[in-house]
This record gives sequence, structure tokens and C-alpha cells, in this order.
Amino acid sequence: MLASSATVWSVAKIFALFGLGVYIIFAFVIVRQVAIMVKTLEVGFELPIRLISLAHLLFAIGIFIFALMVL
Amino acid sequence: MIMPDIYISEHKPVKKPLLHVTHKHKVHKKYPYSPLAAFMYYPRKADFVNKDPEEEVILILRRHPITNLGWIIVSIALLFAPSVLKFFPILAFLPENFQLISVIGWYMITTAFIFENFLSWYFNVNIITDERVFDVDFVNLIYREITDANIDQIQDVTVRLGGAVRAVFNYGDIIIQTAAEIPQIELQAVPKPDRVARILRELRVEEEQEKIEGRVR
Repeated sequence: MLASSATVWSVAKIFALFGLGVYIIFAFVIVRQVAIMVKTLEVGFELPIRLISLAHLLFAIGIFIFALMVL
Repeated sequence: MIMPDIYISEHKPVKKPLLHVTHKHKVHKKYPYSPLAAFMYYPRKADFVNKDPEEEVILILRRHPITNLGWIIVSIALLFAPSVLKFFPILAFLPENFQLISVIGWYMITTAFIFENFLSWYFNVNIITDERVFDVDFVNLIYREITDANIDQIQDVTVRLGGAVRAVFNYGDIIIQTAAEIPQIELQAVPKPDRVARILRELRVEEEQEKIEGRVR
């Protein structure tokens, strides 16, 4: 019973890490998207937007590592 | 008795300043510049892909800020949703570490939702220069579509303003019929549509004037 419960949470952990991994790819796509957008139009607010997209990517990676440790 | 002329200056024709050049200085004095504005008349910093070096940006338009209200309300609801868990513990069956990661994951998705919507509003613009009209559309994450037409190819400008919200906040659609390959450019939900139409009319008159005077670039 205890062993099957542990197996369930191990599977859940794999799913959670897979989801967070997909999210890292998504965050990376956003960084690329922002790069394309900023090349298309420059009106003076590009730096904060770039920084937000990079912070978002770093946050996604950080959460993945955190999940790897706590789950 | 006729006095002889001592010096006759060379006759120089007085060049009338272009309409938009005189406007520019007035606008810069009158309004503070914000890159987040939806109506940017003579933006102090403006560069975009395909811009000719001598081309001057007259107007950059975004959708009226009130059109963002829908996703802002949804975002606020998403931000406060985890606090509902105190009253309805639907994640209680999960171990604490899974609960924590679920809540963090929720906030990550919310952040992405807010950022994507902001990017969509910020970068989907219409640009009017002294030579052309551009419609920049980012349809999804990495698909970009830019439509442009020369000012002198504009045949008809229609302002469409209907509905209570649009009347109150003074925004509407502008449909530009052109003689270019793409017959129609639509500027959607732009602020001050009557003023935009007037600016377009002035630019067309100026373009005609340039043609007559042979100043066409």
C-alpha cells in the first residue's frame, strides 16, 4: 500500500517536472518572440520588455530546479 | 530721378515649410513623451523594420487602452485565485510540496498570460509616416505580418465609430482603401479616429503638393 502510494507520487513528480520543462521551452520562445518584436518596432521601452522576458525565463528555470529538489 | 541700385540680392524663392515639420515642434513642446501611449503623435524615438532613412514617423497607434480591460480583469481574478484555496481546499489531497509547486506553477502561467497580452497590445501597432501607412500584426507567438501602402495610393478613408463604450472613450476603426496590392488596411480600435483621419487627409494633401512641386522622393 505504502509502496504503491510512493509510486503514484513518483509518477506525479515526473509529470510535474515534464510540465515545468515544457514551460521553460515556452519561456524561451517568449524571449525569442520579444527579440523579433523589438527588432520590428523601437519606441523606447525595449529594455524593460527584454529584461522581463529574460527574468521570466530565469524564473522558469529556477522553479524547475526548485521542484527537482523539493518533490 | 531714379536712384541706381547699389546691390541687388539674388532672388531666392521662399520655401514653404512642410506642414508636418511645423506641427512636430509644437507637439514636442506641448506633450510629454510616453512609449506606452496608444496615440503617439510625432514620437521622439521611433524606428521600425523597413523604414527608409529619410522617412519620418508621424503617428504610432495602438488599440485604445480600454480594450485591455477584459484581460486585466481576468488577470486580477487569476492572481487572487490561489487565496480561494484557504476557503475551498481543493488541493488538500496533495502533499505539501506538491501544493507549493502547484501554486507557483499557477502564478507562472498567470505571469505568462499577462505578459503575452501586454506584448500583443504593445507591438500590434499602426504606423503612419510621411510616405506610408503600416499595419503591424503579430498573430501568434512568432508569426508577424506587416502590411503597408503609400500615402499617395490611399483612395478613401472611412471612420467607423459605434457603440456606447467607443463613443465614451472616443475610439474606433479606420478603414483605408488603397490602390496598392493590398486593397484595404484596417486600423482597429484606435484612439481619436477623427483626428487620425484628419492627419491622413493632411498628409495626402501634402503628398499631392509635393508631386505638383516635383519634390517627390
